[in-house]
Amino acid sequence: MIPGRLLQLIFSVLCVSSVVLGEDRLGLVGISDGTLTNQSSSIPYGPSSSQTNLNGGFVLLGSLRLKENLFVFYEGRVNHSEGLGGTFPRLQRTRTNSVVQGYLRYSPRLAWDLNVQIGKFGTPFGHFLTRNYPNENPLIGSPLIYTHRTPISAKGIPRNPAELLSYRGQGQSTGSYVWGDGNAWLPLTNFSYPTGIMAFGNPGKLDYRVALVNSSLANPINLGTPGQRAQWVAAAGFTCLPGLHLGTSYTEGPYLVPSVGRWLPAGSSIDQFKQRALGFDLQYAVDHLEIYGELLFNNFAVPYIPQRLGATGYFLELKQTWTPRVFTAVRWNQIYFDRFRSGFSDASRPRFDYNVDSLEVGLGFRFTEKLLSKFSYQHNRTLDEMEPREGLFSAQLVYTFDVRNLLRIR
Amino acid sequence: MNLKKPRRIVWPAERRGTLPSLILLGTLGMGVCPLALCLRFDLTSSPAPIRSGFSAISTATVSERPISSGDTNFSQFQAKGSDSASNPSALGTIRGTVRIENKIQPRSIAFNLYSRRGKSPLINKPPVPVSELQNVVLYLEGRSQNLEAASNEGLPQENPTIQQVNETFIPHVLPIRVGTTVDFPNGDPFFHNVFSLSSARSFDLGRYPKYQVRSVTFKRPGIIKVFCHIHSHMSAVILVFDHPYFSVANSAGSFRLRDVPPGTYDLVAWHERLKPQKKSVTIAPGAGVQVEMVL
Repeated sequence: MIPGRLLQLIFSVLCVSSVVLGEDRLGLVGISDGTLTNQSSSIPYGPSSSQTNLNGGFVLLGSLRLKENLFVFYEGRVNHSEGLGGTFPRLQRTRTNSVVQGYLRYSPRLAWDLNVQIGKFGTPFGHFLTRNYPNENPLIGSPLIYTHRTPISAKGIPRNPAELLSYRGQGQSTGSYVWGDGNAWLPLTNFSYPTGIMAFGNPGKLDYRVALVNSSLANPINLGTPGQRAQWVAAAGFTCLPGLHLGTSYTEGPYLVPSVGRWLPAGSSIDQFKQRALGFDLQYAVDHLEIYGELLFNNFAVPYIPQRLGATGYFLELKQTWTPRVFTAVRWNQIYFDRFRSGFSDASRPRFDYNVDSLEVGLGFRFTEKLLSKFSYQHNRTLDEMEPREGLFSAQLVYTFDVRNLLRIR
Repeated sequence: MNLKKPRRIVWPAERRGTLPSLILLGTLGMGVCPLALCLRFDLTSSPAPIRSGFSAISTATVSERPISSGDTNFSQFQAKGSDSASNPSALGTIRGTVRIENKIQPRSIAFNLYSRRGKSPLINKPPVPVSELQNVVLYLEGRSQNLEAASNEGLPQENPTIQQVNETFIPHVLPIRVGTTVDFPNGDPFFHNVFSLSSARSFDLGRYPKYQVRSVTFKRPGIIKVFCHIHSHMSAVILVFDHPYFSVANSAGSFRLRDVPPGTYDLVAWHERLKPQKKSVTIAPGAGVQVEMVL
């Protein structure tokens, strides 16, 4: 694991050197946003609740050209969240400061396109990660396959299927398995920034990405020293027509943290319990219409569960620009979870988590090319007997800027 | 006629205190209708109502055609004098050179943090060096009525172009006259999405592929900053004048303004990242003037 502070220090030194040298080697972009969210949840014939939160974020993206073919890239994020009030006691303030990416890229001039990068970088799986910035995402929320927490944890394991079932629909609650020390409930895929090495290129209409990394797609926690639990991620794409790109990705690897090793069945190791994910993605754009979609087939091998637990999720997103300043967007999400094949009566073969769906609609208005406001409403539904529902109103203000211009760095 | 600077958002005095409140309310997402915000912004930022809805887009995209071979060579604008001047022999010429002595803030390099998914090759390579002198526009500012008289004269027969090549707008700076239609041919094997939110002309040409041209007509003087939605490092500037007396310096800094009616004018040297410089020039009938400008 590369210490974040070391990456920050290295990048700072390089930036200062570049400024002192006064050469056009540096690119620095800042994205700041303020988001207000009002969330209300309800269960038919049951109590309802609401919560209002304010979140401020800042992303710094940087690139420094060391040589003609050699670059350093950096992404740092600062987030501050604060509960403003609601049905429950006020949320505690949270603040995070992290180096999300920091890597070295070498792009040799070859007849066929090849680039190699080493360090901490975004997973090549799927494509939403590349748009997970407030100035790129036309809505405020993220797709459900990236955010919905399943009852599968990286830090704990269930004793049997019944215990796993008891955590259905509670992915973000404070409970945890008896065997384990936390509740790192896993989504199907995550905003994964592992450490490793990647080769990629874009020859003609094809593009490819192959990476050897040290953490799984679902588990954002670094699984140990690089190489200890290496896993492959491979992705390829084809641009059929201008504006139409189809892609596919595959990854497979262990997702449990080493600390659960002592609770595993005798003779097994965490390397035997893997996440497998196969993804397909679509991007299409023409004139003022943009369409994005991802389809994910995912399964986990979980200790003491006699079958692999699979889930299928997808999202489809449309964005239409109506005037130079105004656009609208809509995103539809669904996730279906597998049923248990044994251990329960045929009549009541339950799913290992409740199916969920979500619809988000939004409106964006550009004040200037740098200042953007967005408003969205998200309706989330869990398809169990009680069908709890959740509605989120959000408003976001985003300012994107060239840091060098702002600071008058020459 | 003075070249108008991009209009900033000017709030009427009685509303000035409401700007922060509106931003706050907008952020809070309570009680502020986004459409009302759109309307209020447009009304206050532009004296003429900005076309709304489809019309703003369709006006910009009305002239769409494939790129012809002639489009690949853009012609640099030189001021053209009046063909209808009553006495052509009385017209003068301003020649000169411009130098840049102040340090220009370097442009940030373009970069992609992620491997592109079939959109375009990586552009992590050094930018092709372009002399900043070629981005200097020289134009006349009026104390003479001749400039206003020239405002009704003919437009160029061929549309000037701003090409999109290697994720760069070429030329970066384009001076034109009011009423001119500018073509935006896409020369890259992937989509671009040219747009501007400048108060003198806002437009969004949408995404279009290689070999396609979309056009915009500029009907008001001002500075129009042009960008690409897909490639945020791409930018260009269009200066719209209501007279024909302007020119772009060449790579050596030389420029020439031809067929200028006799009179006294301010000659302005403009660069987007430097403070404009003015110099008074007097044109005698049929004579030429040599001027040196320093930015």
